[in-house]
Amino acid sequence: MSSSNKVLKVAQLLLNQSIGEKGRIDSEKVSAILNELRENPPSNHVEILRRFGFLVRRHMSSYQVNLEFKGGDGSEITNSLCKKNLIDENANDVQAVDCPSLIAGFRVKIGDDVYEDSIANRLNNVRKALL
Amino acid sequence: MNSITDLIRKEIETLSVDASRSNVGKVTMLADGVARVEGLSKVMYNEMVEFPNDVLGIALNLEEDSVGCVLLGDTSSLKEGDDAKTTGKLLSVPVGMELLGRVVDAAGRPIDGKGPIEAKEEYSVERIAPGIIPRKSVDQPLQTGIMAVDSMIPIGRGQRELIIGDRSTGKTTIAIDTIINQAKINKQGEQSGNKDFRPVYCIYVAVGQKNSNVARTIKILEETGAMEYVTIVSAPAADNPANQYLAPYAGCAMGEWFMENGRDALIVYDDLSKHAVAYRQISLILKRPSGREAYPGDVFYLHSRLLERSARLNEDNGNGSLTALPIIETQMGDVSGYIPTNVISITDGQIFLETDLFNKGIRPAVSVGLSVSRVGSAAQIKAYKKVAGKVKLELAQFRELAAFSQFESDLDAATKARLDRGARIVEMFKQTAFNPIPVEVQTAIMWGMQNDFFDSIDVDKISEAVSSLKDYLSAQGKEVCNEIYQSGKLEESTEQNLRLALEDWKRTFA
Repeated sequence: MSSSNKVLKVAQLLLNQSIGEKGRIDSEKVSAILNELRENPPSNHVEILRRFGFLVRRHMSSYQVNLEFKGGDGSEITNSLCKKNLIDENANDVQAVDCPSLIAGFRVKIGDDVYEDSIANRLNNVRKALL
Repeated sequence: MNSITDLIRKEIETLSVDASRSNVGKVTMLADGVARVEGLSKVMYNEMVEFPNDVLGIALNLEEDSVGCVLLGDTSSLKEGDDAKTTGKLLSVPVGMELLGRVVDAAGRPIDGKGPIEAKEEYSVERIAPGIIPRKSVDQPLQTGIMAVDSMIPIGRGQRELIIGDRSTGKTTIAIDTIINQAKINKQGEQSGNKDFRPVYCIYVAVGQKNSNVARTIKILEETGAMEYVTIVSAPAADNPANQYLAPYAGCAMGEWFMENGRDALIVYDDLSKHAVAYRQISLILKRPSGREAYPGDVFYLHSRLLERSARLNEDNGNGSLTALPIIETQMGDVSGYIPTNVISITDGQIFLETDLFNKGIRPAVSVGLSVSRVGSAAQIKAYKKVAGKVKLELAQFRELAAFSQFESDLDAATKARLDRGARIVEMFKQTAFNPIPVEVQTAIMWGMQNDFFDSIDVDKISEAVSSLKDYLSAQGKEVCNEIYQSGKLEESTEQNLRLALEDWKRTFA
């Protein structure tokens, strides 16, 4: 097995060890893993840490929801998105932020996916269509 | 004013008002027209990716933790940390008759200042080549108007014929001559009112060329009246490598529209050496493993998937065709280079141009020994086949004997006759640039050569004689030329008329 494959495999194992309840990253488990790695550094220590960091970030972004909105109440929008099964309040950490640049509407970011229904986006579409 | 507001209202009405969904990522690296993006976990291979300030990119490298995108257009406004989002679309270009007479970039956007292109259809740039079943063997001629090519290396509709040679040996000239000849034939065919006439539309793809050269080509095509049948796709040397990489595929998509709609088209890729260099640049920046001459492993596939898209379709599929004339530049006449051998093996023959012949004043500098057309005489009209059948052999024998005769003081009569005939044929094939000769005139000249009409003329006066005969045939000899053009055959009566016409010409020339 090549060294890069080893790094990928070890980092994936460490990620699996870091996952706690509801499939979320457990900070205590992560600290314990980091302490263990510090005390007994493996070969390719830096590469493993870098890859592990990337996997943790990617996993966390899969259940963290960034809700940007303008107009209305953040919790109301969250509730309506939950009703439409776009997000699950039990499984996702919802962070709602007021965003004036949207003019009106909302933008939800879950992992790499972005759902948007805002006046700013519609105006941008009109601009593109007219260019 | 009202029309503008109506236009805006119309656009707004057609817009979707639903919530949009996209997949996003962040730019982590930017270099030489290539961006590495973290995220974009749902991006498709070859999908268009949108960057800020309306910059578009194409996802070419899908890796576990990042995506490599080649960027199209001006990338100076982009920076690390910018958002990139998927569009769900593959790169497409406008296609159709509306593109004729226009100059466009690799994305099909007009760059000739003649306003927007109102194309009704769009084709994806990357398409799968026609399979075996819809194809038909090549049997219809595509006249280049160059005697040396049409007689010895005939090209058929749907064929891929490589034009190869060192720099400044007349490669582009052969391609431009062919385009000009198509325009002439198209005009002649349209005027004749023949319902079965099939015009050939042309696409000229300039990859990595100097802007001045592209401008010169456009000027020549406009001056000769050929531009109305031509679309020029330009990705000059100043353009980024992504555009240079995409331009041939964009041009090919435009040509495929003609083929798939039962029409004939000709596409010139000028040139694929620079195309390979642009692809090598992109691949190295994308950190793809490099192989021979630092080209990536798939450089053969780069050209094979492009040239395989040229084909002749059968009647069930519209009977259209796309003929390709790729151009390759060699270094010091070395045809055994990596890219030249690749393209030679993909194409159905090559026209090899020699620097020595060019410098001797033999233009077009076609090397008889190294040039070949794998379609052969199947792509010649019967009349031409009859007069040109032996020429290649005669010329090849002449070149061989000419080399040996330098060491001989005494030559036998047969050898002398062969050398004499060969020298005349060489002179006959000399042709000025951008001056293609119609096939019926070529047939008459070749017939004259085969029937000894040029034997009494000094070798150094043969070019003058050919030029004089051309003038004669386009004036007094029009009828006999028309006969050949209409029938495509050399009947006994036609040969009789041809003999009378040439005897008449010979009297005036002498």
